[in-house]
Amino acid sequence: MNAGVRSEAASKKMSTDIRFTDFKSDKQPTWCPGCGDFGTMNGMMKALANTGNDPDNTFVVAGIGCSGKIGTYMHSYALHGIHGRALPVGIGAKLANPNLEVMVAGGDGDGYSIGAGHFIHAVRRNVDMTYIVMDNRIYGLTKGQASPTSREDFETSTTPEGPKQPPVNPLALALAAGGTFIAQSFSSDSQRHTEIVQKAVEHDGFGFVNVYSPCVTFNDVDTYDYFRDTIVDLAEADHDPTAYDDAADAIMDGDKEYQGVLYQDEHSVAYEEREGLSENMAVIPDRAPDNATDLVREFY
Amino acid sequence: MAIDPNFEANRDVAEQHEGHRVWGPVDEPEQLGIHGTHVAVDFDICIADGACLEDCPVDVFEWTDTPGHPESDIKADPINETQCIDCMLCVDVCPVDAIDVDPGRAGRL
Repeated sequence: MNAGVRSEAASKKMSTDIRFTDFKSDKQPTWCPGCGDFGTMNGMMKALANTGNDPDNTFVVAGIGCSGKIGTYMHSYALHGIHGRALPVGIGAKLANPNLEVMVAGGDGDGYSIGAGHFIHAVRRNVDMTYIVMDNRIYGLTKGQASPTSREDFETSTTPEGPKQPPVNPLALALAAGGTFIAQSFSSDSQRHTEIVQKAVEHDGFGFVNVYSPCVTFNDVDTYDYFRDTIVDLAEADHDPTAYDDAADAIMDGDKEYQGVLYQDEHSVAYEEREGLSENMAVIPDRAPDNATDLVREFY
Repeated sequence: MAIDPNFEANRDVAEQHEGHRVWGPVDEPEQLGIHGTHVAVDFDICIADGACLEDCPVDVFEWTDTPGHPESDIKADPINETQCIDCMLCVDVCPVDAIDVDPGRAGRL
């Protein structure tokens, strides 16, 4: 068994006839034509289908922002949470029912600004779930203000001379918080993006993927062409993601836009496994209330 | 004139080309039909402007030679239509409305 990855036996029900299109809802996305979020979502759906999940056992949680609409566009259980607070909802759902495949999605603003606190604590708790951040380096839904990952000199309507502060390095934040799976992908590179998200889903613990997901409307700097020209794919480099020091060097290298799994702790064991949580609490007799109404009364 | 979004009902598959369907009628070199199903390009409308090739985030289109066609000698062929992520950018940028994208159409076939 490859440590750090769920064993075959531990995998949830394997559905052989599920296609990624089964994860598409009947709602037409309102993202701008060309938005990177289309490709990001496409890869998420493919990764879920490729790992034997189906919409019946998948829970997608989103925050606020353009990315936040994803739960509407995917056919699965979903919750559109409040700004920056998608992760705790996902953690709660996973701990209540460890058999669920939980995928949390958000943007760079949602995850690294409004929800930055939740981000680092979710990373260190290491619950078995996947966190996808659609990083377009701008606040798109509110029509173009600097985000935590915007460049220092990125001119926007509210930062006419740039934010004048260095961008957050989310990969470094995750590493410092004790992350066990830290990766980065590019929404336009369908195959690699899917592979990387798939590895995050298969990881036994918190799978974090920062996805370069260009905003075609409000960011004319971090464009498809920019990423195509600058991305360094770790699959083509001599990079061992299980070697912590090498991973740290790559993550702290602010000059490169990497694609691939930067770090994976091959000995990772998910929080709920360590805590012996394996069943849906709603069906465990001594944990579930006989009558949900009584429970509401008890805590209300 | 724009591409007929109901070509599925109004046309028949005339042939296969590079792994995708060609919806007739086809009478080369003047009449070439609609290439693709999920991503459909009406070759008889396409003027080879190139905006779709330039902008598609996942490189669905490639040039194919169509010498003798009255509109243009090359066309944007949706060779990689299975890669389509339904972002609709090609539909948006096409200056002559030659492209229609419908994932449901692909699913029905």
